[in-house]
Amino acid sequence: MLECIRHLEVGSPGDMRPAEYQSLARTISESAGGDDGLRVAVLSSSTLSFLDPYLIVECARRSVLAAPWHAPFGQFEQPVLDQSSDFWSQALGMVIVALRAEDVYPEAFVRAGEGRGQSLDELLGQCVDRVVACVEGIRSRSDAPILVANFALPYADRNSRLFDANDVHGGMFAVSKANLDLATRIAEVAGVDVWDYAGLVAARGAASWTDQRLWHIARQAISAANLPFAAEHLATTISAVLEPRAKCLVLDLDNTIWGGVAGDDGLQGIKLGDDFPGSVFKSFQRSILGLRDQGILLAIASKNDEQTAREIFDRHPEMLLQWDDFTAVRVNWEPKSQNIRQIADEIGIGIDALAFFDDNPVERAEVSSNEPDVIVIDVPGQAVQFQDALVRGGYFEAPRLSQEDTKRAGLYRDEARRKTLRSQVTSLDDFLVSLDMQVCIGDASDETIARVSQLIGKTNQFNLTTRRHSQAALQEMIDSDSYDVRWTSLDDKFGKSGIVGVTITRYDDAVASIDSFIMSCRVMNRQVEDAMLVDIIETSETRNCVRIEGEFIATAKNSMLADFYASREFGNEVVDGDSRSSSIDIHSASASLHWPVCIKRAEK
Amino acid sequence: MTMEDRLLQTLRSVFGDDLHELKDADGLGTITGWDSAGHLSLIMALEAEFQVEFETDDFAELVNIGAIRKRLAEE
Repeated sequence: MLECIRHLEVGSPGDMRPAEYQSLARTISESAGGDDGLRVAVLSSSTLSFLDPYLIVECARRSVLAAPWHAPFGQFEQPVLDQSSDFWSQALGMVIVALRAEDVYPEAFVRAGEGRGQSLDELLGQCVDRVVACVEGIRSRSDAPILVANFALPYADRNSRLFDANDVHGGMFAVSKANLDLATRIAEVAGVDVWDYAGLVAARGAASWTDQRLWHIARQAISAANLPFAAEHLATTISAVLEPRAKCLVLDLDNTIWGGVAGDDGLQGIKLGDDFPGSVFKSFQRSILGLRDQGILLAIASKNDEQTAREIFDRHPEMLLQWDDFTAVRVNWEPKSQNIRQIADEIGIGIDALAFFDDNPVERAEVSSNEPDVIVIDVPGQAVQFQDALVRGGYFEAPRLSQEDTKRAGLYRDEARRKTLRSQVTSLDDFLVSLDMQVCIGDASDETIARVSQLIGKTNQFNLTTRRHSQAALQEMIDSDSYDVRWTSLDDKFGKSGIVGVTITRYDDAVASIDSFIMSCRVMNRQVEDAMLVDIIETSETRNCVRIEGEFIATAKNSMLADFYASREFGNEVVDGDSRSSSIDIHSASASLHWPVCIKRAEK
Repeated sequence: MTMEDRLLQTLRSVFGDDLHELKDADGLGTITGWDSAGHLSLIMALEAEFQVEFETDDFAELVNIGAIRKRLAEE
């Protein structure tokens, strides 16, 4: 990462003037040197190029070096359809598609309507068709993630500002229907997500969104004052699409999830309830539970006596958060950075997947300096702003949530029960048998691709090659006859873990090469990986392969797998930099590697 | 900071740090980067820097340093 952008904290977009943004954007781009950055290609029906300096800075604040490129003004589909256009000579890292209905049909919101020629529904439907066709055109030749702006309810171009929402054929309902249609249709194209432009305009205020001077002079629909906020919103969306979200929220207790200090103010004295100031904290707890519902794990890092803290959870009638909601708890007087490191180890996730929320700036600074990879959320001074601070960075956001996400907290609680059982059973083998594990393995399909893609995108530890295939690339492999993309799910007597493993095998002549071998670290040490490998062997046999090749590519996080293949009879190791490949002939493989006895094979 | 200093600083932010002195005649087409897009960027930067709101006529008239100096002096 560039030195000059390392120092940039995620701040408030309004904190710099346009001149400062421009100067900083130039510094960022110039100091990139040989790094071309992420080519963000923009296809839009209005002028968005004035957004560039803001976008470069706001992306840099999120560790993304953005290099925006714009199609010539007024060209929307042409650059995509013309295969020799400049658009296609870009090394596309991300494509932004932003069509505004009022640019295409200036009369749309002013004159169209029932009984006045084409209805608004028809005009907007044509806009949706154009956007979808454009997205499909891009996808036919590029894997780059695509963000599609949805339609904002126009304000300036509306004759009725009072009763539009009184008219079921009016602008508001037509735009809502078009946005629903747009989201539904682009969801069918892999790697395409909505950039919620409508939400952005609504949040900032439609009345002041457009500066009519800039609109008429430069066809720029976003006022100068709103450019930084538009850039922040787009940069946060880009970053949420590219980067895996934080997996765990580590919370302080005193003056963070309740007002006051438990040790000083006591059970009766802390502020928490339905009236101010306790209502502020109760409402913050509700937001935290909302994140938990979406699969974000919760943990506590608090300087307190555990008994004092525990008493609040057990006896305070207004506590929404329960002790059981927390997957890991560190209540002691040790430095928080150490506690956070232990929390990451206990849960089995990388420390960069943890976000830390603490009202005390000294604690935040201690964690930032000793564990720089932890996401330390910038917490404002007033508790009424906590809720906004928690979500505005977008750290917990993913474009699409899978079923596993919404069940995750429960899955980890099951895991805690398994650990209790493990301490009661003496040998590991007995323990594994006592779990009554059932593994089911199948081919990836439309129903499972979201979860498969998610495991590919975010698994760092049990990942032999860490190839981050895009969903589009994945879809191609699923459709191809020379690949098998297989998922593995696990059930045991404590519950369903869902899809926990993914393998991708490529077949060339009579050789099966394991392109990817990924497993959730939640189920490590349970021989599930051996079941997955046996599945590859069996599938390779039916395809008449003579040899299986495995590859290990070292990263900062997967060192525990360095001997994965060597310890399973693979030989002929070839080392090339961080990569080692080895192979096994199919007969030795089926003779020496067997389905684990502690696991039952389940039918789909 | 004087108005002149702020003006120079704003122009350097928009057009680059190799600008050192501003002559009245310099402007659109003579300063590197001050093209039609650069002009809009400059106008937006000046508005924020000097807390003014230009009229649409100003957009077409403030095309050199002299005109900008004169307009800002009126505020």
